[in-house]
Amino acid sequence: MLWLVGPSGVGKTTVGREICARLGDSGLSCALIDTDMIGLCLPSNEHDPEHHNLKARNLGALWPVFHEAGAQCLILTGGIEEPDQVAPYVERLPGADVTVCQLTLSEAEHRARIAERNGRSVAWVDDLIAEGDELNGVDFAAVRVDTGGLSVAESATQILQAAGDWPGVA
Amino acid sequence: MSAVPILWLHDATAGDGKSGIGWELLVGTSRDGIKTAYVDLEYVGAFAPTPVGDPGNHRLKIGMLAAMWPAYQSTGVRCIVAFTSTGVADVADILRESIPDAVVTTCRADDAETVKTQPDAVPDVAVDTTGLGVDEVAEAVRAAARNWPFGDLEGSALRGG
Repeated sequence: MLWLVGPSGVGKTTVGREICARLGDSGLSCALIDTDMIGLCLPSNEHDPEHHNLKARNLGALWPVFHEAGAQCLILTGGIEEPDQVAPYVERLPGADVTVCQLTLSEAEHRARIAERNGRSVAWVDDLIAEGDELNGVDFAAVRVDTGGLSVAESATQILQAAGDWPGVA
Repeated sequence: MSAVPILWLHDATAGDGKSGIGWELLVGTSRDGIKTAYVDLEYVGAFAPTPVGDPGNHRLKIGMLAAMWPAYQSTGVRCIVAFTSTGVADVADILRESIPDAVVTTCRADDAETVKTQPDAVPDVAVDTTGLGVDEVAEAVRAAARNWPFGDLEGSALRGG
């Protein structure tokens, strides 16, 4: 399992889909799950305000669906911001060989990439930039890839190489 | 057991910012005090290559929704807004295999021109989005679906969760 983490707007989902499609084209069945999208409900419970318990349970429930469809490997995107948030998710995937890959980006490029999204307020962008700075300062991944100046395809190639030619199965 | 209202909302131009309709529905029902899950099946996951016999990953998407229901239910969720790009003719039957108490309403929210050029499965409810903002579309969808989620499900047993 390859888990792409990093601040909102860095391109985790876009690059994850590129890798998923590329592996699919090469004959390897690959699933992708956007962790930010598997726990959306309102109102939130007080004991799980960020829905990590819910999302971890849903991850554990979703993998068998993909596996039954033939998936041989899994890409996760997003969902966590701190090192100790990894384990509860991984516990739901017994036997998984997990590589966490942290995507980083300079503030200027992060701001430019976010600006490509329409209709966002300056305050919203500033919040994302601040969050990005914070995440860039936290080192909790085995692999780090600076996606600055890279296209989606180039980022995908860098990530796969940095992760040891992931997934490393024929 | 209580009924589980599921709104299967499809929009041929999903991914074009219109998933905001689903979000507006989520906010609206939660504001009414009904804990609701929002599952955007275009973004929850992807699978490549597309499985033989399941073009568009339709069965896979329905399977994803069904797989997540137990966890959502355990947190108090009582209904689901599911958003996809395409209608699936037998979605209700397939969902009820996994969620027996599902009460599925299929709804197509598209502008009239898109409906004309990209017809697909006939929905229970159709809303013409021409000229409407996402919040207005969400209101129109709930009204057209008889005040979804519980408006047409009478009786305290169904409302009680």
